[in-house]
Amino acid sequence: MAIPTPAETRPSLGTVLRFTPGAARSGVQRLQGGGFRVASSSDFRAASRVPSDFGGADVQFFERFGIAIVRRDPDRLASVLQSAVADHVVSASRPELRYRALDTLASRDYLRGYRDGVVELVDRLTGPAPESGPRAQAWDETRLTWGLQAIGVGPGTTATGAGVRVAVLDTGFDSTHRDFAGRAVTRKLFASHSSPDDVDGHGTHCVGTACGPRSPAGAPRYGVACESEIYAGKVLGDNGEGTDRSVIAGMEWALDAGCAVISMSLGADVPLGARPSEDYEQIGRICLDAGCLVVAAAGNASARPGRIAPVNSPANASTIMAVAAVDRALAPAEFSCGGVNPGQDVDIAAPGVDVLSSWIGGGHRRLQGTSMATPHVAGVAALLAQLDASHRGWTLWARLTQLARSLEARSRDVGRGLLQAP
Amino acid sequence: MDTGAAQTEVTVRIDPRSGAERFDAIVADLRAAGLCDIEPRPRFFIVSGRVGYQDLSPLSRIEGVASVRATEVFKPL
Repeated sequence: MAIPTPAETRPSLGTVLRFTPGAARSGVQRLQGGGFRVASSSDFRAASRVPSDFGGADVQFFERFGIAIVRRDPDRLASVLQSAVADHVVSASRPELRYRALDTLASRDYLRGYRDGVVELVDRLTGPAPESGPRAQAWDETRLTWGLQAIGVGPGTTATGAGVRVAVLDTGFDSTHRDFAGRAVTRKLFASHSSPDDVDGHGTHCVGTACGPRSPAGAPRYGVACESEIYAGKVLGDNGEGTDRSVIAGMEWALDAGCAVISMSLGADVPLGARPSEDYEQIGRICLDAGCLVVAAAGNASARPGRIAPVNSPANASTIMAVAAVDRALAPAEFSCGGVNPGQDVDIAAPGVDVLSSWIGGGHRRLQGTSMATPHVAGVAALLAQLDASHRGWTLWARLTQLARSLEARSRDVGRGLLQAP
Repeated sequence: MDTGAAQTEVTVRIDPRSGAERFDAIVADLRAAGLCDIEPRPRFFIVSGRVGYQDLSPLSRIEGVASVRATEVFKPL
């Protein structure tokens, strides 16, 4: 075995270019026109060994992936890149990274992922083990619902969501509910063949969890962002159903209104192995780029421990935060969907069983579902958005997942863990 | 254009690379190709509408259209 030279052992890093699909050949030609010597991975297909520097070329082009790594002359590259990006030949560029093996202290996430993979494999071979976790905790709900306690909202929480607009797209909202007297509420109907009112109650419950008051009448505190501005879009009709048309219209309304968060406790089942809708990938990305975080319910189609159903649409889009439900023991709710379709992960978990909130007609009711978990996340997002104006869109997403508390359950089921308020 | 034939509700995704300036022209092309009851969402590059089954394929061949799919039905969870 030849002893590697220092250059081969530790090559200098360059720039990684991702070509727009279908434009890779044109991109390579531009690089060649700019004086770069390009070597393609296909040139080494028959070789027993691919040299780490592609035989001394300036550019290493990975044909199958539409990726090129440019390791020389960054100044010359900058001018080529400028026109290539403007002409949509190159869709992204970033500095090349150096990777290394992880030691036991290096990455808890990596180890969790590894553990999940092993457990998954064992489950497949031997059948799933019974879910285990802490015994149901005794929560005193005299002043606060168990859900608010679990996510750290309480008397010491200074943030209220004041000045932050929260959109809840659902079955509507009973704005005459006594708990919301004096609150800033904007309602809009998007569902067809429906009244403007919440005849179902689901929407009023979700608004209550995200935006309910600090001191409700005759109930413990159940709302997270108690001074936020409520935008209730009725996208699910009186028959309990909505379509892309109503949902997308509601999302655009919320975005145009300057909402920092859109909460969607709705979904459609997704078959095992199906891909997410590109439509919602695109819409979620546009919202995040514009400073608006979209959170959506992961779905209730599981029957644990035997069956774990894939994350529903639109939560399965990678640009929409998928919310799973946990019970009072902080274990995944038996109905909560999991990240079983590749790349369609649960992102975070929140209380979704036995959740008390506002109900149509002025009262309160306990419900369960990932629908109930989702507005907890929307409420905490509003608190974070109030505390720091830079917490919008992608940054808000990152902050929510950073604060999440690790749980015993697999990341497939609870994502980064249990939602936590600042 | 409503031919009275069986129609389906669809969601049309416009390729954002086609540029916002072409959005209106693409919507006009969609209308000419049989899409009716149109609701354009330019901020999302999305168009909702209804179309006869026989006009589904022509819609997806319009320049700048990335995808055409039957509308999904959502329920509270």
